[in-house]
Amino acid sequence: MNKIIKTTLVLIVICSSSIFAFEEVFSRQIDFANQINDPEYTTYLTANPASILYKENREVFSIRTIVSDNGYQRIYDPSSSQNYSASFTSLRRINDASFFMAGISYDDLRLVDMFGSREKDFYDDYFSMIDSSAGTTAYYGPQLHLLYNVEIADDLYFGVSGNYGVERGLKDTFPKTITIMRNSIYKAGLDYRKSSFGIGLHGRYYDDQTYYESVKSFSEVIPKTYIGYNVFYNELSSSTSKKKRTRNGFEYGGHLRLGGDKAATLNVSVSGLHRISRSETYTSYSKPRGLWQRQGVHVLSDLTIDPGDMVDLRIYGEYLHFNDWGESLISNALVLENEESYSRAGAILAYEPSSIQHAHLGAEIGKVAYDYVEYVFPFSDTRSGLEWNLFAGADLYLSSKTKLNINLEYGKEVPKFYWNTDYFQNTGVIINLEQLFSFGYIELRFENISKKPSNDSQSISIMQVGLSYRRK
Amino acid sequence: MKKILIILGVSAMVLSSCLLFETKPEAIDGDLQINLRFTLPSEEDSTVQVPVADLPVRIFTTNYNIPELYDTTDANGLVHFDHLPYAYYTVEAHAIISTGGFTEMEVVGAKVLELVADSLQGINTYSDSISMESSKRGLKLNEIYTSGPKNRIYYFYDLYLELYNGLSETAYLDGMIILRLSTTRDLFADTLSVTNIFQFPGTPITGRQYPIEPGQFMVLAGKAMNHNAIGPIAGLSVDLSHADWEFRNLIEPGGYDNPNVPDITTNNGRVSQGSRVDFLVGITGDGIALCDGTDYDQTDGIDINTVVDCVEYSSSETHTKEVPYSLDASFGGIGQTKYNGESLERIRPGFDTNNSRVDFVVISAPTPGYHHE
Repeated sequence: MNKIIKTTLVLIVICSSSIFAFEEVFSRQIDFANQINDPEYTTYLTANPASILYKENREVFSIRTIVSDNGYQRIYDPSSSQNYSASFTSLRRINDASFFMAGISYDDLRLVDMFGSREKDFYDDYFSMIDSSAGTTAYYGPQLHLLYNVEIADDLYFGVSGNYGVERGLKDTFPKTITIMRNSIYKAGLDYRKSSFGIGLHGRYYDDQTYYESVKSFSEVIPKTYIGYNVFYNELSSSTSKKKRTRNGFEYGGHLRLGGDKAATLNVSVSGLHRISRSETYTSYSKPRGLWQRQGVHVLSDLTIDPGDMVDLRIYGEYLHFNDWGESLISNALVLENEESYSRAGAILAYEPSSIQHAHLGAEIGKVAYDYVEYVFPFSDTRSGLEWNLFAGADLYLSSKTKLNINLEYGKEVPKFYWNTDYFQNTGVIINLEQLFSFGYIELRFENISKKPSNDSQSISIMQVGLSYRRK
Repeated sequence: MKKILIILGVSAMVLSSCLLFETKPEAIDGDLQINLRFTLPSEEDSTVQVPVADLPVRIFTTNYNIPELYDTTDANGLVHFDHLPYAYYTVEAHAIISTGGFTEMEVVGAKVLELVADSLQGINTYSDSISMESSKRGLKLNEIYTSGPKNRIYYFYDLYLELYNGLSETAYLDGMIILRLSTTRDLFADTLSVTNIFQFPGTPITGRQYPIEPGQFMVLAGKAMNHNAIGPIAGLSVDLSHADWEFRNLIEPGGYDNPNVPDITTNNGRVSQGSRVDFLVGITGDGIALCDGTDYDQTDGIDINTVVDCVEYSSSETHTKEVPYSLDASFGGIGQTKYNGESLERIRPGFDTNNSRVDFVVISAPTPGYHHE
């Protein structure tokens, strides 16, 4: 047993060192400010399903609405969006050594007044497609989440999780682009945890298939495929235009925790990423258009100092670096390269005068650097800048059964060139009100985030209202 | 069992991730260089080519939204363009060259370059020589408007052809025929296969009843009516009620006829029309020929030597040619869209190098009886 596991671990370490894998970089960015108290992970810095820890059965039902008003927007952004979602998650402990979690959610997203783009997020791909449409697209579909976690040997945990979602979209104006998206994420990991230290390894496989189809209604579909963000290729106008995008990605990573219950705990997580995306356009026959590949590395760490008093201090750091290159499958030549890096460091001072009261104050500063080059028609943009963020939050018990949580955030963000602004000034307010009833907890959540560009009076406003029920 | 599953799972991930890797290409798009040499047959010896200096050259592609490039040839007739992506390019040069104290010659040099990765096979420098020719002047099909106005009711009945007389003398349309060509597999054939045939009244060659003056445009309407008077396309189409000619199929049941506009029909039964529909051609792709009418028996094909002008067009860049090369070396109209009010017109009145891809341009609106700016 031990020999097999050791062999496996060595194999993973060898492969990880050659920089593999993770896919959705930004979804993995850790919001340190909101990770003050998270009992669900032995270390929140990793995506390792073996590190998830639930000690009791749980059922959560929630509904939420997110409304955004893009007063400031890029060319192919919607003017506003509305997202209505509902989710149900149930967790059951099977025995002392294992538990199982299943969840299902349903989202209904409306992207209003989207000009030209037939993509859900035009800027998320280097080979995005536009057509002659301008209208509102509705996306809707369910997602299924499953997680199984088991202690396979003394202090050694194995976790596996799967996420499968299907989404369908329809634009309400000519040529009524139909979108069918299917994505799945599979994770597996091992976590060896003792009270004084822990070590874990995990892998994640990501698969995304997106299919677009526009059919002639009254006149021809006139699609164009962007190669990068400035040059587009004129596709042949036709009665039907189809596109298929396939993405696959891998993440391999590991984490280390030292300290455990001691006064100081150090967490370090390292992972490499590798992602590949292919775009193919179909009319009467298949025509591959583009392929791009991403590789990078992501390092997260934090040091928590808990002197045992009412105050503890967390110092954290993050480094993310990745490279992209894109190949035109029209010319079979290199058409773009991109390099991005993010590094940030921060500190959170938490004050807990009692087990039911909590307040924290934090600050972080970071540097971003972008280096983007297009070759088809020469374009390059190199920029870097300092980002900073100030945040504070508190849990207040208004009564023995009513808890109020408030978080405030203010910061500066340096965006990519296609935002056409030097920086955003971000302001965020999050208020959660949780009430204990005889049948469970009901939580009301309100969130408002405003992003104001440096060169425009208009701003992006995102408001979220949510209601969730959690059984005791 | 658990251990085996873990090992299998991890191994599968590692193996799959290795398979996902692609090799970064070494060739860079946008690095293409084009060297062109423009020459002209020598006046003393036409077998000798002499370089054309100070010639303005234009190069463009419809593949990408990149700007047109212009440059001028040097003393050796050479011009150089660089930092171009792999694509299909059209090169065009036009000049009026003084050939003596009181004479000038209008010359054109044009070529379509297929500079895609497959044809270049990794080479990033393309060199070619283009021999300039005099633009052939004559009676020409100057504009072909078939794609319909901007509409959502599939309306394309406002189609028309426009003739232009680039000759210095009056030409006569008597007995001439207009053909809608059918697909031929033989691009070196000496006869044309015909789908539809319409003939002007009168006697071919010798008739003198239907003149077209030098520099005159003449509109041949599918239906000579004011299409702008039709509700859903009001203001989006053209008024053809005053067209010079109207196509009419005499065996079309209830066919429209404007009594004030002379008809191009069967020339009193001289040609036979098998189709029972009015004059219709492909909206964004077809072949059309104007012939002198001396051969009007389409059953064995129309003699290619009777062709006055012939144009092939298609919106598709990958369209397979259907008209013999001797009549049209390529095809025009690439990128033209249906029901969008676009039209296909020669870049200058009567401009003809026997290469429709060069000679024609897609314009955003039809121009019956006049030329676009």
